[in-house]
Amino acid sequence: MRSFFSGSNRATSPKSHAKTIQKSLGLRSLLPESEDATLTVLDLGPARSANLEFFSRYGGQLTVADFYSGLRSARAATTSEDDDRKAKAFAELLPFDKSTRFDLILAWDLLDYLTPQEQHLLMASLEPFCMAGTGILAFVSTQKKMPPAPSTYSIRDADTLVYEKREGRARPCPRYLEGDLLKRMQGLTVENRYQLRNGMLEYVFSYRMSSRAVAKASSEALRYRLDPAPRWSSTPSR
Amino acid sequence: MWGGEMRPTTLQYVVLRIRKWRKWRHRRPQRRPPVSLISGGGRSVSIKGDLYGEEDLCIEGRIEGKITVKKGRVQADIKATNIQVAGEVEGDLTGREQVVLLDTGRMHGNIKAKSVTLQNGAQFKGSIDMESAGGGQKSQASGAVSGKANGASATQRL
Repeated sequence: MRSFFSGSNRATSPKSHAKTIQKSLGLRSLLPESEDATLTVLDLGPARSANLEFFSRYGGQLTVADFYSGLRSARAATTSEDDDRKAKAFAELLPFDKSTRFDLILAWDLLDYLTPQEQHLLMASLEPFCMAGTGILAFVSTQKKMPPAPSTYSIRDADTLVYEKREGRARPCPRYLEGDLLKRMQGLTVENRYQLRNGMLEYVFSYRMSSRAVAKASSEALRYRLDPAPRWSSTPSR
Repeated sequence: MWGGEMRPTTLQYVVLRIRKWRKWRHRRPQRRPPVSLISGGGRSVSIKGDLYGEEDLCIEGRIEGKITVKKGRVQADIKATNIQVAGEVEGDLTGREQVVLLDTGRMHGNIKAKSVTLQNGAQFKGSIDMESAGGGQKSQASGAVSGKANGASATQRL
């Protein structure tokens, strides 16, 4: 059985497909009502000019992490048994100042492309930069298949997104359940969820847990083993 | 060695190819480290004029003028009036007026400017301070930028 990460070793990334418009029902609730407010945003997707243009009206800071592009090196570290090394590899993908706190985190459809263990590590890496009320926008697919890599999302307005799917062979979709996501990503609660027409579930998460409770939960999560084996039987190609 | 009727077996052939590859690997040109413009104190170096190069460049100091690096990478914190990136830059950019990342630009660092333009296709990792140099901040989705360079260029107008 091939591993979750097997696939073609092409150095070039999959090409983007045509742009598709998608309604967002949750983004508006994460934005301040007044454009005079400042907003500190973390975009885990690639840099898009439209997103910069959209958030510039609020002032503040936009940080682009392009998390998936740096994930390959972190995945090499996760093959080891050393939990500290895995956590460090993920933390290196988010090299922010310790005093940084984000109001809004845009995860887009990244969660679909992470294993359960990686989701836990991602949240552990994000937790130091979250504060009470930090909002996280994420899309989780409910379809059987999904594109080979995360789509690129651009914000047209508070209710409309434009996404570009990656070309290439579709891979099986893990179809993560809400309960499983919340179990792995300690500290998050679901503010709202919306079923979109394209088969995506739009989640509006909110960070609520205190730092002490998170520290306790994180240590407990490391003690019991997370299930590394995915539920799908066929393997995706990259 | 294999003249006459003697022919290499498959294993011998593979071993020979591996040996040849190892020799080639050691001979092939290695990427040179970036050219460093530093003095004993590092940041006390100040250059007025245009700088042009075709290899990686690491700057610790101050340059007043134009920097054009073709096929290379600039590793520096750049402060200028207008900055246009068409190649690879590692460092912070502070533009008094404008910072533009062209579609061929790749940047890892932070940007502070009154106006930041990011063309689709540009690769960027870092933060963009949207509250710099006092209000009125604008950002443009993609502008028609005339002239592309295969490198990073920074222009400072005095």
